[in-house]
Amino acid sequence: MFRRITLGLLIGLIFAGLLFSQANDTPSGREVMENVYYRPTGDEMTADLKMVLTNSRGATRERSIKQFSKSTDDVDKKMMFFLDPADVRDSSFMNWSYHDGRSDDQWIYLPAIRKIRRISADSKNDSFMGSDFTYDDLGERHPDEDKHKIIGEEEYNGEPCYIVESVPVGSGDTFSKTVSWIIKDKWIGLKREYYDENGQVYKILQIDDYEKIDNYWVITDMIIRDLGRNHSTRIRMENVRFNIGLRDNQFSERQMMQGPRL
Amino acid sequence: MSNAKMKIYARLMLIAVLVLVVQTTLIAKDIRFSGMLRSYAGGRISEGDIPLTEQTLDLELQGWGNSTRININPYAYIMGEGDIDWGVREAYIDILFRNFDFRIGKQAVVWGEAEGVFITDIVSPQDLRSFILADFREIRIGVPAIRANYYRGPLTYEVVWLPIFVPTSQPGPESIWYRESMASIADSELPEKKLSNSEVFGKIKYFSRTITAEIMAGYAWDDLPVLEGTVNSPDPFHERFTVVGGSFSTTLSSIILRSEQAVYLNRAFTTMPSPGMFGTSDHHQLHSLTGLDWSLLGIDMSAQYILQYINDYEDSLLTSEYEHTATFRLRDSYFADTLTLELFGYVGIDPADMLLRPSLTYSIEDGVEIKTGIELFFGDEERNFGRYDKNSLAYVSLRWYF
Repeated sequence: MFRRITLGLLIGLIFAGLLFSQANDTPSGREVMENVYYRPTGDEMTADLKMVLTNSRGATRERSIKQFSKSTDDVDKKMMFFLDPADVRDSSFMNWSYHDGRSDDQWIYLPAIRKIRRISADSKNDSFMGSDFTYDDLGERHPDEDKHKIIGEEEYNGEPCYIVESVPVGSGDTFSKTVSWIIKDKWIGLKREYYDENGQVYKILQIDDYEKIDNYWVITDMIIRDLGRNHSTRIRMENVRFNIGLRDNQFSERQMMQGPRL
Repeated sequence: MSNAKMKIYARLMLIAVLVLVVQTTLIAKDIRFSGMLRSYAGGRISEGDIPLTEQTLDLELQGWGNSTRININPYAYIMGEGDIDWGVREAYIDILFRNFDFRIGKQAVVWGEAEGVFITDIVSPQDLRSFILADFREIRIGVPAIRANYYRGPLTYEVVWLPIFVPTSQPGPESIWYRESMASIADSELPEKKLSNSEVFGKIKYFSRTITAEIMAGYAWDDLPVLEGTVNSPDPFHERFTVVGGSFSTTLSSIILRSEQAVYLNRAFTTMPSPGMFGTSDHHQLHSLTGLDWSLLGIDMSAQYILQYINDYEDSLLTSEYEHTATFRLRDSYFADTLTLELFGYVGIDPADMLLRPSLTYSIEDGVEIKTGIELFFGDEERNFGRYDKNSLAYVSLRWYF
């Protein structure tokens, strides 16, 4: 009798231990998205971006952008300078994303009127320069802005992924939820589906290439497709360089107007 | 020296500056040449004529050195009958340091938060030869100036010195924008070109995540002349005044709040103390704007209210004691921003008049766009917009950026 009880306790302990370790190994949805948000991306970075817009007839338009970014303990700052085509040349965009979850601050410089304008919160869902990205997509979405839940795990493009459903906490977003495929251990989002109010996917962001540059994982090729309009925008990142000595005060109105020559 | 000789010397000086800048450009590290070609035709709705046909070439040459930059912006307007108006809108050199920079040369200075209204933005005079319908870029006249900026944390300190006064350009008698009343202010007497007659402006700007704010002051010449003499023999001349003001923009929830205020101290105004006689009288004037920008259902919207008030008003003044104006803008884009619909309007209040500017812009391909629209004037004939009610236009323009 005693031996049977002891055996039962042992089996129980083993199962409990297995369950416990399983619970410890599988992060929560929030932890996954925090790992993505806080994935090291270098304190400073510069890159050349090629943005290709493709419409439903297959016609393409191309934009060249120079991007600079810098991270500090409490804020990530980003500046984008439009180099081509000629009608948007010298326009620039600046985004400040805060680690404490405050909403991003954004500004745009319009050379036609030589003025810098703040972008209102409601405008952050507008298209960024005719692309399928919104101004909000260009910032860093803080994990606090959504409730996250792991809804599955699967291999996607040969990588083991968590599938995380994220539902916005506040109002004002154009989507009712997103579902993201996050590579385990690398914490790179490979794919994200955007759902409308009716629970239908209307936009898909897909990462087609990423590589390790100077010990940082960098997404170098991504495409976002608007399924309703049958329109897509691909961004390829080239000439990525880290730690080039950017100063915090270079992320300023002065620089937005002066252009990308630092 | 005769006017003809002055013009020849001015053109020779311009060519010399051009040669100098081109020479500097050639030794600059990095050179960029860009520009815009525009073809424009506008016809009056009520008259059925097409008084506005214009080809515009606007070039920009930029060169960068290690800590310098040059910019030269020549332009040419070729009018319908072949008349050519050409010149250099800007030609300046920037000297850039870590915390300060200088801009020396002919330049347009843009200040403030207002859109389509000039309150603290009075450093550069305006080109009103096409009334206020020209692009914002083309409505400012570049003026010879030295500008210095010093950057310290979130603050920018700016000083602009303009050695020579340049007045606002008015339409000539051949223009559909010309009014008989403009004859009296044509060929106004300009201040003598000497150091004591130069203009100076200063500004301190604060930029942070929550607010952009600036305070400014200036000692300037009024771009618009005042009159003395008689109605039959007016004597237009420019007077000095001091301006103090400021502006800010900030975010209120999902709305951008903008404000711009200025007080013009002891500004001279034209009076008519007795029939047929002009005179002047100095008064403080308040020029104030409050504006909101927001987005609703994907449509960008903007509204501004502008007040002008003359202190210690007297009945002989030819300018109203109060001027209330509102502006609004609605803009929406379709097909990945290739098609843009816009409605911009100025509304004068009491007595009412209005300028409505609906337009449609289509981007045929990158850098090539066609724009069509209507400029609708109506309202009280004594008011700024109502007096042009016969000039309501329909237009089309084609632009090619390179």
